[in-house]
Amino acid sequence: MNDKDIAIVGMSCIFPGAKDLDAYWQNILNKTCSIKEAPEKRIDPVYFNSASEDIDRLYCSKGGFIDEYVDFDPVEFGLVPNSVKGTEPEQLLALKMTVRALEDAGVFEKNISLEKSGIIIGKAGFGGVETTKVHETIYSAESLVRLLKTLAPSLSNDEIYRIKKNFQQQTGHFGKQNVMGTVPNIVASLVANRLNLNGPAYVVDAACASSIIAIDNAVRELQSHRCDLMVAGAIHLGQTPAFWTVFSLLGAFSRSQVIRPFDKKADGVLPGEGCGFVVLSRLKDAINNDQRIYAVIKGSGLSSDGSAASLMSPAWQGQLKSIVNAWESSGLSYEQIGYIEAHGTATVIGDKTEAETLQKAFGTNNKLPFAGIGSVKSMIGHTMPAAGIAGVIKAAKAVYHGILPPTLNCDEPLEALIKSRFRPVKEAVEWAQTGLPTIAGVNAFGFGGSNSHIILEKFNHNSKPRKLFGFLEQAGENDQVLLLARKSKKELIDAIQGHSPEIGDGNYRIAIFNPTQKRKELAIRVIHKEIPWRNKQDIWYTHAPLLSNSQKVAFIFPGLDGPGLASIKSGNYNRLADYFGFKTLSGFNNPDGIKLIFDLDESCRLLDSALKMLGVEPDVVAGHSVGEWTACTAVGLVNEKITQIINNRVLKKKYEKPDAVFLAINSNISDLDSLLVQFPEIYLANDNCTNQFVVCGIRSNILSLQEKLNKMQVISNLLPFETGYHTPFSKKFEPEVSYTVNNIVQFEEPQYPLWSSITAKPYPKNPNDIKQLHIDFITKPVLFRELTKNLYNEGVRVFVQIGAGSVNGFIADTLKDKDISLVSAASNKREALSQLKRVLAALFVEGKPINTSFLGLAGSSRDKKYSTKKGLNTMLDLSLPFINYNKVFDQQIIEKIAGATNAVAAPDAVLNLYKRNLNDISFAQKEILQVLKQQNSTDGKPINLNELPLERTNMCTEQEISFELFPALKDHVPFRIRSSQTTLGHEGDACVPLTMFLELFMDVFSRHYPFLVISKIINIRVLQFLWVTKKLTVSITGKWIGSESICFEIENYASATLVTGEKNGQPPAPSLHIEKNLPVQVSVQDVYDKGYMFHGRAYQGIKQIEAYSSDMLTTSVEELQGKGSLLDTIGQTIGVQSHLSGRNIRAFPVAIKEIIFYGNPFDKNGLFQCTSRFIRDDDDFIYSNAELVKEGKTWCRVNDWQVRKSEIDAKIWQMMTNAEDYYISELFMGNVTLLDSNIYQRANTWFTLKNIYLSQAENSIYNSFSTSKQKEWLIGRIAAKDSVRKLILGKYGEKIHPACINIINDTSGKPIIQTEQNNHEGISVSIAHKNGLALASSSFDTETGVDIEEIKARDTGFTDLVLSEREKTLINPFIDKDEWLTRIWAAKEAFGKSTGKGLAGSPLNYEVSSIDGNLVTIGKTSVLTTRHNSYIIGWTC
Amino acid sequence: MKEQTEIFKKVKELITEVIGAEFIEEYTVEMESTLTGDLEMESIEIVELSEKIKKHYGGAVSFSEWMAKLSLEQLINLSIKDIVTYIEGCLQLK
Repeated sequence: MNDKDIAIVGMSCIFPGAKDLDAYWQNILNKTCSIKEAPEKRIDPVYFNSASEDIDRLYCSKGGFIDEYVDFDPVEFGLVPNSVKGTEPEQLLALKMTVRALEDAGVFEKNISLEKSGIIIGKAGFGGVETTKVHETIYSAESLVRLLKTLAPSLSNDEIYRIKKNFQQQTGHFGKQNVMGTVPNIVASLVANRLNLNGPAYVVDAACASSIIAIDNAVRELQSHRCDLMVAGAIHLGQTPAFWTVFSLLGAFSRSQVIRPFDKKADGVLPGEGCGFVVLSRLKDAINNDQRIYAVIKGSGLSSDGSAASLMSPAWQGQLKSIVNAWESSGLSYEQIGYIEAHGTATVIGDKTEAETLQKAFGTNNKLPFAGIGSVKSMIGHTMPAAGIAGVIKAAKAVYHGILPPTLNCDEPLEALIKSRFRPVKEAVEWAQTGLPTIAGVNAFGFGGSNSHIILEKFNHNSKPRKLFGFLEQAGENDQVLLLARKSKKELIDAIQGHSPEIGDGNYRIAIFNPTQKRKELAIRVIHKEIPWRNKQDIWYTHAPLLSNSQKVAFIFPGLDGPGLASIKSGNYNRLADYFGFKTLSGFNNPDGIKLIFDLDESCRLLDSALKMLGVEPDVVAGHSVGEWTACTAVGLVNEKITQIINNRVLKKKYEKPDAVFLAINSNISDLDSLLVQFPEIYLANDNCTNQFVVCGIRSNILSLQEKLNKMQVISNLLPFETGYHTPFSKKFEPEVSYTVNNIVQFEEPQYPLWSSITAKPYPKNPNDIKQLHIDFITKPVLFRELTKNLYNEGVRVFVQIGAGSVNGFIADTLKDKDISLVSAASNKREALSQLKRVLAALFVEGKPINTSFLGLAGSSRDKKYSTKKGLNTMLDLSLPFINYNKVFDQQIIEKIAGATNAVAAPDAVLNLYKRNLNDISFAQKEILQVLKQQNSTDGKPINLNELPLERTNMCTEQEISFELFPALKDHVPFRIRSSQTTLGHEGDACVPLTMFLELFMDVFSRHYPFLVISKIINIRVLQFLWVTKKLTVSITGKWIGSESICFEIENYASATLVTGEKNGQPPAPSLHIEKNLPVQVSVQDVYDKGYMFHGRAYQGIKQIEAYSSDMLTTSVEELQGKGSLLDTIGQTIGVQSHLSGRNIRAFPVAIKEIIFYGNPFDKNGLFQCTSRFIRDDDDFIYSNAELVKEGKTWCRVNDWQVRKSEIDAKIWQMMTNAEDYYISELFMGNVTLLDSNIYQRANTWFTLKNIYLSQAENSIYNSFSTSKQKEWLIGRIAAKDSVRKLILGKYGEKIHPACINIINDTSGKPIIQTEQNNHEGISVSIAHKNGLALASSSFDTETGVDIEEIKARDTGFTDLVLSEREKTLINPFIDKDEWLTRIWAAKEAFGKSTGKGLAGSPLNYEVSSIDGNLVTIGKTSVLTTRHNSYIIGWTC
Repeated sequence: MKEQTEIFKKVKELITEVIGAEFIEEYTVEMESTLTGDLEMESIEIVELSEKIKKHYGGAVSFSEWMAKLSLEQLINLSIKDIVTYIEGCLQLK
């Protein structure tokens, strides 16, 4: 061993076809050629033209590319995710690959110091993609301004500025956050910065010789002992059209598009890209450190051709000099060469010169055995500055494994090579079999005559297992933290005192933020006590980690619990959102009355996502009060923002604010039992913890309670919100919650176990139970104390409070003597990001593997225990896309330019360009480039930079919806009254079809952006029907989300996201085919006439039923006058298909996942084939896919057209089609009808019934009621109408549609029947309600009365109130007294109603004269009393 | 003044009971120390403290009523001095 020997101890690389070192070596051994056609996004095909002599046309289109391997996770390297965009990918990749090489060298495991280390990177100064984008942003944009001023002088400065801004939107992300991202030397400095290397860090550029020069310099740093460890390497990603033209113009590229180094047919090089890094240390140190040694660098040499040749052609004299330099300094003899990894570019002159050089250096002596030669360029192309490192890594692996590696495409070696000692290696050969020394030389000869050579020799290696990961302290950060884990108290204290930086392992664990000397002393005092110390003075310590076994971590979402809310500061959270690349929060702009709830919900979900992204996941999740809704969203039980949906609905209803206020009482609830019973109107809202609970009551009651508490010295505070949630005060909100859980949100399998604060138990599994729980949630108290105890018993030891609030305080109180750790993800003391670091530190101390790189600690991501699956890994973009001018110019501007260019008789380029083919982007691109080339220079005046419009503007349009504007809406009446008889002017209400909403959205969009193509509509949802009875105006809002998508909404009714972009390419062949055709029993006439579909003429788009199988249906359809009628036929086809296959549904779509357009969505002429296919169904929905096909080409494809299942039993189906013939109520006796509100659960079913039964006038009465009253009123009306209909049928044999009966109440509240038939006059009707049951009776001529009452035990007071002394004697003492008391009551009530006066003050006013069986006689009237379950029905028959 | 020192001593003693003697020595408990800031007391610990103050001083010091009237801001910045001053005032009235 020589003192100067340098070892290669670690390597990493990415080359075409190889994502890492192993793949690279395997590809070499397998003789894999990874050269392919240039991907379009890298080099646009427009540039390829082998016939053209133009400087911007290329004759070669093949090369090596690495796009698929360039992923990068900023979090792993402690970078702000936001800074990735706009940073040259080579900077990021160099950082990542350096770390990989250091990992490979075991630097982190062995905890080898990086203090005296440096990095040298070979890299071409040719601008990379981001640098080019900066150039476009700064230079081309200004060129465009000048072009426009020349072409279209009529454009205002504002317009030109807007165009420029649009242009710059597409030229990258150049800005303050990444301004260093294009500075060339930063590629090395960033590595030094992130890894805290203190040695030299710089870039060298010597074209193809760069790599070996970098290694040569690194070797010197080590030999001089200036550094102890060096990283050297090279990177080349700049495969841009401009870079390629250099080689194309030189004629250096292969015309045959095959790279054949040293072959007689070789005709040029093919380009490649990639990067490689090697870790170097002095051989002695490498042996001492027990590192794997790939190879020993015996010597290296550098030289220049001087004036021996032209800049572009090589000379053997210069090349030879570099080889001689290397070998002379190596102490080896030339005979010892075993293999040459040649530069071997496959250019005629290059190969010939190199072969001559080799002859001169190593002789032509045929007495020595042939040595091997190869060039990896034959497999990956010429990776330019990284060519040398590709060769060095190949050669190092070759000597390390003792294998002579194969080369490709050298079938007939050049004469000059034959004369040398070297022969191409065609198959991998065991080095030992050749008898050659395991010594390799690598050549790298660059443009301009820069030459380099390096010699590698095999070392007898041995390797040892890896042990620990390392640690680097990051200076200068506010949140600097010391994390340490050791096996004993002494070791831990030593580690702190001895500044031992390694994180280590063991049960003695500490996290010290801001570890100054003074604070370290405090920490040592804490450790000495050996008592867990958590979250005090920003120090966490324990020697008994809580999570060392299978104990659990809970995420607890706080509700509105008071003081903590002050810490919700939007800036703080928005900085957090920026850091992780999340959307900034909308709720913070929301000035609503329940802003607090929204703010809390949004901020908590943000923290939750951030933690998950950092790899922290809960074992259990729960929420306190409204925090439970947030928890539901966070675990994925619901996909929507349920908190906002429910609260918005409650707000919209404009309920009177309950006068109820909350009072937080700091006492144990049981201590105050005797006080609280004095306040029956005050309810428990939250049982928070041992020493705090919250009650709710009307203000005056609460104030008097507080007065008493003050006297008892019990602290209590009024809380600043008045929802009344969790108490009977909010019972009126129940319908909104019920509607939400039944109709709006969908429940899905939660991803984490969720517990409820209402039941203190895990969430139920059954969807109906989940829905019920949400409804109960509104009126039932929060049992947080019990929940806390149950979670502890479940094994939860670490509680992470996800948001601002006091729940950790509650938990601390309830679990006062238990060993637990509490940490909050939000704090009013510090930035949200900083606080998340505390969460990670707390988890570390309790023994959980964490992502330490987020804490600024390197080395952690190599901790195998830490899962990186939720990192921020993203693919880097190596491409340089063209500007999409459709997004630069809007319609108005184009017209202006067109006018201007005509006026100045300019070449018609721009004008015709846009008129001819507005969507053809690449065409536009070319034309614009042409014009750019011809531009004249003109003076541009400075432009006012302020007050200029944004490029992507959101829109808000008022849209009238009326029969005048859309007369065809009269043909979209879902509950059409098909009666031939006269009606009350009522044929049913029209409603806006979903597809009409979509077309309205598209119309608004295309008015604003006529030249943007709508490629898809996604996330389509209908929230409720929009009924049209008179002229309405709705607001259509369009909000850009990102640059491609715009979310349209008609608030409360419908929303959909339009995705813009290029046309979806060639339409795919239709995918839905019916293989096995079944006979169809239904004709198109039936579809519309027999009521399968309700649609009138303008929406009867189905023309023919073509084919049917059990799950599919094909129809032919066309667009009619009805707005949205073409797309609506998809829904109709699905509806008919469902009907044919026995699923009776009314096909009202509630959501559609996506509609992808292949044809122009505005071109709806002609006949289409519509095929639907049933995909799946669940408890609530049916999902179908569909396609519209025109002339054999797919026009659009629909995925997941989602239809809500109505609970359509046969009865409702019949009602819908022929309401005259059927009844919903139970026909009881005589004309008495009974309807139980529990027969149908779904709100949707009741909605259907409402539409069938109510007249127009009744509808408006219905709508004026609160939701809770609506149903009760409706069942009464249905029962009454059924009774009346039966009465009329009995008397006249007439069937009457229920909506043709109108029931009004006279001033005394007595119901009056109205129909349009004269012979119906004089019908009397009586309606009674009890516990969700409605009872009705009707009669001609005589007054009828009906009543229903529950049989219950009554006290004597009640008896005395109802029965006279004489009546008491009528009741047989041996029968059920309660029942008979109820019978008499019901009889009296029914009688009272029949008189129109009710009970007239007292039941005693009407005396029962006799009881005969079930017949109770009052005066002259007999009242039949019938027992029905636990009720008595009384009816004056 | 002597009285104030004594009240401070007492309050400090009660705070020590709440925070725990094993932890208190790592904090500097001074007249100016704030409960939630310097002493890192949780709101529930402050309630515990008020219980103790109530027990010690009895009815003369209606501590809870006083606390109930404090604004959020005042609660967050509550210092030992505030408490001592309040108790002192109550005792003088007596």
